Amino acid sequence: MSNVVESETKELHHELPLMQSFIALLVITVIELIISEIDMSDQIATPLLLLLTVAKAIIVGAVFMEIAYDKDVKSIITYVFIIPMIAVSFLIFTIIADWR
Amino acid sequence: MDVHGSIWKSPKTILGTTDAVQIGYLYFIMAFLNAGFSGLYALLIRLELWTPEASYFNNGVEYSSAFTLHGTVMVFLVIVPLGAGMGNYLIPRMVAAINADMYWPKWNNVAFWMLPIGSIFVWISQAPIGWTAYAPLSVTTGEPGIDLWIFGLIISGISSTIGSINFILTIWKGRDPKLGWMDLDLFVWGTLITSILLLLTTPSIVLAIVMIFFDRNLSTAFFFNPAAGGPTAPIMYQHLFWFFSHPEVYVMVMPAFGLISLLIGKFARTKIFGYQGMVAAFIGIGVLSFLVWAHHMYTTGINPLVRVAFTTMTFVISIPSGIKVFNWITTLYAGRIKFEVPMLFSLSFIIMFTLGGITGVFVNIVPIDITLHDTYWVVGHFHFVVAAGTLQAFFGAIYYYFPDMTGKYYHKLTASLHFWFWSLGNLTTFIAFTLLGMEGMPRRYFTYPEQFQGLHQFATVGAVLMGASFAFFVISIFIGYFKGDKVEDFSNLFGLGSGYDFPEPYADRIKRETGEEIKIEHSLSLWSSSFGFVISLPFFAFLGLAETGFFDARGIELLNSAGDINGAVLVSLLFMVGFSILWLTTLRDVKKDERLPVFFTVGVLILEALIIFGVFTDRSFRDSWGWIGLLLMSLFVFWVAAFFNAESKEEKGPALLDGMKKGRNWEIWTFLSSETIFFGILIGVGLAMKGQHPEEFAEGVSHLAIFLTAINTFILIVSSFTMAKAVEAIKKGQSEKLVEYLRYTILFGTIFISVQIFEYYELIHEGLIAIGTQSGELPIYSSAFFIQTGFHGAHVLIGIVLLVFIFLRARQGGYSEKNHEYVEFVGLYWHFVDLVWIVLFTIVYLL
Repeated sequence: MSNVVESETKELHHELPLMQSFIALLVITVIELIISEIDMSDQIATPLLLLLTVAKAIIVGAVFMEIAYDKDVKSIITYVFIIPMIAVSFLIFTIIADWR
Repeated sequence: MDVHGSIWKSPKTILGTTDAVQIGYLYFIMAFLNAGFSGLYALLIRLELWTPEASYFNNGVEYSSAFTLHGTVMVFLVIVPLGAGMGNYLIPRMVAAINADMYWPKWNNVAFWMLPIGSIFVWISQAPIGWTAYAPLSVTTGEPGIDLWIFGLIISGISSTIGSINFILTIWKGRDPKLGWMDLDLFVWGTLITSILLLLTTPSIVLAIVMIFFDRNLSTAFFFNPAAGGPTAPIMYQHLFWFFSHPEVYVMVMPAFGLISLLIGKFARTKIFGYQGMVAAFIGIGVLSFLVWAHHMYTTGINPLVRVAFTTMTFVISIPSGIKVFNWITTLYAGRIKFEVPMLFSLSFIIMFTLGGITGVFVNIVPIDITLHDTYWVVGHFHFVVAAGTLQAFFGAIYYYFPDMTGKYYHKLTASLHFWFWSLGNLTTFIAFTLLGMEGMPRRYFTYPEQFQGLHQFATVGAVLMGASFAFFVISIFIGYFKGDKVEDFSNLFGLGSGYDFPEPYADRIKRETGEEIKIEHSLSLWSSSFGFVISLPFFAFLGLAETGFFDARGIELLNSAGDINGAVLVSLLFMVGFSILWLTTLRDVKKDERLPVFFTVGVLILEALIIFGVFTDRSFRDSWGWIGLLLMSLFVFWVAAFFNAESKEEKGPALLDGMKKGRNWEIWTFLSSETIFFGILIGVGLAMKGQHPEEFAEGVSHLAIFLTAINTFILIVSSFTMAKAVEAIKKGQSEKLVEYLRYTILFGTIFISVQIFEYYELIHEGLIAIGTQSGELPIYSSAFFIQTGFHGAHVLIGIVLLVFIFLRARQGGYSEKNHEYVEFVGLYWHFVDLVWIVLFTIVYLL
């Protein structure tokens, strides 16, 4: 008996904006490098860099991993990112609060 | 009834079975073997405590090893595998799995065969650090076995993670679509919650004990480092440890809850009371178990606000626990009880578990806990829950399903003796423990004031009863298996009047529903079991050789006598060996122009192994030859096994994950959720360390090659782009483009890892940011830097290996427009690794 069973498929065949995403990632990386090299206050540089990092992560997740094109986008984000990050945050905040 | 055939036909069937039922049997055998030896250790401990004088063990270290192994083995290698075994035996049938098996049959085999390997590591370790392995004791204790203990637990942890993913997918995606969530047996719910808990918490313990290993062997400074002024953050270890180990309690007990619910319903001859409430209680316990871990740490001087939060949550979790007990009692009240052996164990479970729960409530009250912490009260509490509780549930279930497993009855007299001796032994020993705790007897001591002798002897008598009881269990099973009465009528097995009571075999169900007679054939996969051995072999070889002083003394002497081998010559030789293996196994069928990427990749992998061990251990290449030889041997076994076990002739190229189904990529998403936890903790711990040592981190960052790393980041992004193009190509059926893009992805991935190795090499030789025997001047920063970037690098390496697999298969036309799920899986993994690096680049290099 075959173990391979055709089940739900998600082949929606979107044309992915791969090249645009790639260029965006490249540009953001260059901007990050510039921000880290120029003399800028940490209070501005840190949130800016974090913002750019989030933007890059979203591009990779949404386009390269095709999460934005999946009909279960909310489930995937919740299951793979939000629930684990809530658990991790709870642990890490406790570690920081009780650092010894 | 046995549709699964005998597993004992040949070593090949034992090693290669992918049949969930047979793997379930293997889990039982492994778990009970471990239980037998671990029980013997418990008896030795109790014999030692018969008198206050040291009479059996030579010293406290030997005694410490005994209770460490007893605890570690019982938790990780007995109770958890028993749950996995029962899950394998029951779940595919209970959820009417659409392939009559686990979701990933091959990986099921991998998960099992890692367990005996992990067990061997733990048993030979003789680690004397307690099952908690608290730092700094576990860092500073010189006993070499601690490293083996760590690797044993890591291997068991990987096994549990693979098993958990398999259970989640079997229940979630593999079940019969007609079966709704609220139709599932409570054992299925218990296993599902257990698996989710394991998936989300195992990364925490793995990281914690890896940090211990690094502190011990590579002079890092996570918990203790003399160069960093002694203890650095030992309490962080306790948080990481208990973040896993408190949910682990529920991991152990949830399947038992499910089994008890099942048995009580059957033998009370009524439905379990409040099914939906029970499901809610299971889920509630699962969620809340993440929020209570620090109640194990009240006496560490924990921040009072944190303490209050955890006390509150711990009281809250007793509510769903109580709901279950009340529901069981109500079911008994409403039913007509039949007192067979499985039911006796179930009733005893309720009593023992309640005793365990009540003794636990006391230690959540902080003033009482301060008095009772680390006394025998705690030992009594968790033995009531785990030994007296959980094990009773498994004993009951095994007796209940024994006729289903073997077609015979167990031996009733010895089974009854098993029950009575076990219950009396439990009560005698564990009540004595709680009384000893109240009297102030601390745990983990191999001697005591004479005033405690009476209670200690009382406890020892109980332990002997339990030992005898386990012997009765073995006898009952053996007599039943070899000489037991054959079951004539399965429809009235225990006289319950409920007809055929076991989950229906898949083939029977199909016949009943469609009239079609089907034959289920489970494939043999030696590749799977080889995989388990292969990934363990290098650890084993390295640790074994290192800890016998081979590298330090005899090995060096031998090498010196053989003359001075130049490192470059050795590297060249290894290249040739690696290439020969590849040639023999794969490349002879590949066109000449396609060999380069694979050759290049393998060469870099070998080089990396050389450099890492050469640099970190401050030894020249030639000193690591034993480890490298075994690494190559394991690679060889891996490749040969992969090819030898291609599932069918139609399959082209190495088959890594065959036998799985496509379910909207949830397989890989499930795995990635565990990876998110892993890297989340890794990054979070790094940030916590940075918050405590901002100046050292600022100094460290100023020495990093930011520009070089930015280019390397760009290279990884390029590889992610080419991977996305590869997936896009095969979705359009463009096989040649797939090969082309995969080749580029491998190339860019390899360049990334090479640049990272170059960076490591430079930093370590500069001496400021370094670990290993060349301990750096910035020990805390170095620790955070290398663990974060190193684990990411390890993931890139794994990704390259996977890419090589699909590249080779793609070269032989193994993927098509309709059959390319594995390319998607590897692609998602690769993008995830890229995504993690994007975060790490900012946090480690730029901030």
